[in-house]
Amino acid sequence: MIKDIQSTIVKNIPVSNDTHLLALDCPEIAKAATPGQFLMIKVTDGADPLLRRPYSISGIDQDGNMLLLVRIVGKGSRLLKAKEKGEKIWVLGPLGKGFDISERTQFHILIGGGIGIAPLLFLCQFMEKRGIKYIFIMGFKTRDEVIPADLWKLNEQKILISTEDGSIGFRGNCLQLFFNYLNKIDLENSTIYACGPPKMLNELLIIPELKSIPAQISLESRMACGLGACRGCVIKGKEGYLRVCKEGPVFSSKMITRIE
Amino acid sequence: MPDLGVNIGPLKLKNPVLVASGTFGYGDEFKEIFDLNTLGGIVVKGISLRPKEGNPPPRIAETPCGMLNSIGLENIGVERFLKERLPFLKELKTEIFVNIYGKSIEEYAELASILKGVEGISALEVNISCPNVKEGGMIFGADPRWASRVTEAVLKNTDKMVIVKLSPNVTDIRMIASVVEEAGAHAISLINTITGMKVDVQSRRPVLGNIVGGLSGPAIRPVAVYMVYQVVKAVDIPVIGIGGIVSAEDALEFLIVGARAVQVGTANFIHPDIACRIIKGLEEYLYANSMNSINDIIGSLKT
Repeated sequence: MIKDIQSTIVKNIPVSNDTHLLALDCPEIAKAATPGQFLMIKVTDGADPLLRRPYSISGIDQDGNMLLLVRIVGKGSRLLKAKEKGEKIWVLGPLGKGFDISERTQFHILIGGGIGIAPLLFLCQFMEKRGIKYIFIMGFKTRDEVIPADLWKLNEQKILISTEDGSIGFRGNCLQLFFNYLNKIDLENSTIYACGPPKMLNELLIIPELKSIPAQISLESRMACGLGACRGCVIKGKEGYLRVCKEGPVFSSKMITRIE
Repeated sequence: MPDLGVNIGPLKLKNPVLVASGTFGYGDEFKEIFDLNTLGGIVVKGISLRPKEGNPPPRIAETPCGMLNSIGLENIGVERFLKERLPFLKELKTEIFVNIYGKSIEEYAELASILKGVEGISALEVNISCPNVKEGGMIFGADPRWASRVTEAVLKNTDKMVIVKLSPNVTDIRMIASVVEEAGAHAISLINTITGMKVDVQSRRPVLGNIVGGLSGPAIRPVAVYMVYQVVKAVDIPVIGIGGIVSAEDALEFLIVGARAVQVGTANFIHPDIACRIIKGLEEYLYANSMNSINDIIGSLKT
């Protein structure tokens, strides 16, 4: 059930050099949400900015609050960053089609580049609760960008971190780290879940292994309604345009050749 | 309880608030968010003879107090609309308006005749004003001769009420309104989006995949109110006001200058149940001003 709720911000803290963590009190949406789904947030009342902003759900905290990771990139996120604890914002959700957690495969590989870890954190939290076997490969540019996973109380042994400058963890990007890991895993029995910048996802989309084992890829797009009505957020799929808000935001790699 | 009922020609609406074409899908996208039966009517997404893929992305861009879109009338085509979407809409207790779009006079005529006799459709809204399609589209809306011919062709092939939706991208909107009235249209709705463009200064590329798009939202409201004001004076047929309505107060502006109903568009993206809130707001306004009927407001502008 999709709800439009005026929700209270119960936490708004910086978690890295360019990202804030928000906790929102909206139990009705939190209860209905599944990993991979998203919210449409009205960052301010009034007409400027006019449109809501789509945000992945990054998890649910122990008090049942919805967690969001907000990377400061533009007007909307700057306004959201400036919000104080106790302020209210309109939240519409949960929206879209989330991850399909395959029961058939024994092992789950989560690959997140930068803020792309946002939807995967919720997925990871979900798997942790159910005792599902996974590893989570996170890639950042540098140490200051790293979002500490301990906020989600995840098993740190299952988390592999890469930074492009090598300031922490593996030196390189998250895909290189994944490729290093590739020979150690039984890919036939695994499911890959990925989210990150288009360049990273395009690199992932061309690896030959994906032909037999499709990955689940979470995409983003500019959106207006978030409900599938306006058809503003489409991306080019193999068989025509796909709405990121409705057919996605999680797509099978079988459906997409390349992300623009 | 004040009466919100209005008449658009022979058609009685329970209230003057409709949702605009292209902003409300085929209705079912919103069904779990609020009771659609509270609406005065639903204008469904523009339908063409054959399915249309629409324009390449990006299709939307935010602008000050507004947005640009270049969806390009992506739609499932009339055949699938009748089979897959109309059955749901038909069950609703609100008026259903089908917005139609053609690439030629013949296509408009054919669409009208396919919809002839189909139950559950209260009226056709003829889109002669989409800025986002290269063929036809705005040409029909900008040239009085074409506007007149499209209107006649639809009227000749339908048993339904015909509303013609006008483009603001013209020199004198009164002239287009008059020829459409002369051609026999039962009502006029306006305005569609205003053609616009946005440039990314870093890449020096247009933000929209289609280069240009249609501007909507509160930014265009004063333009829309003025055009409705002009058209109401120029024609005798009912006028439906559209353009940047996000609140009951905005809707009242259009009603006061003489619109018999309004359509809420872009605001549906911001709060999916906004039309419902606007209806409540109108009721409260009448109550607060000790008025019994919304009809006392329509055309009550003091100048």
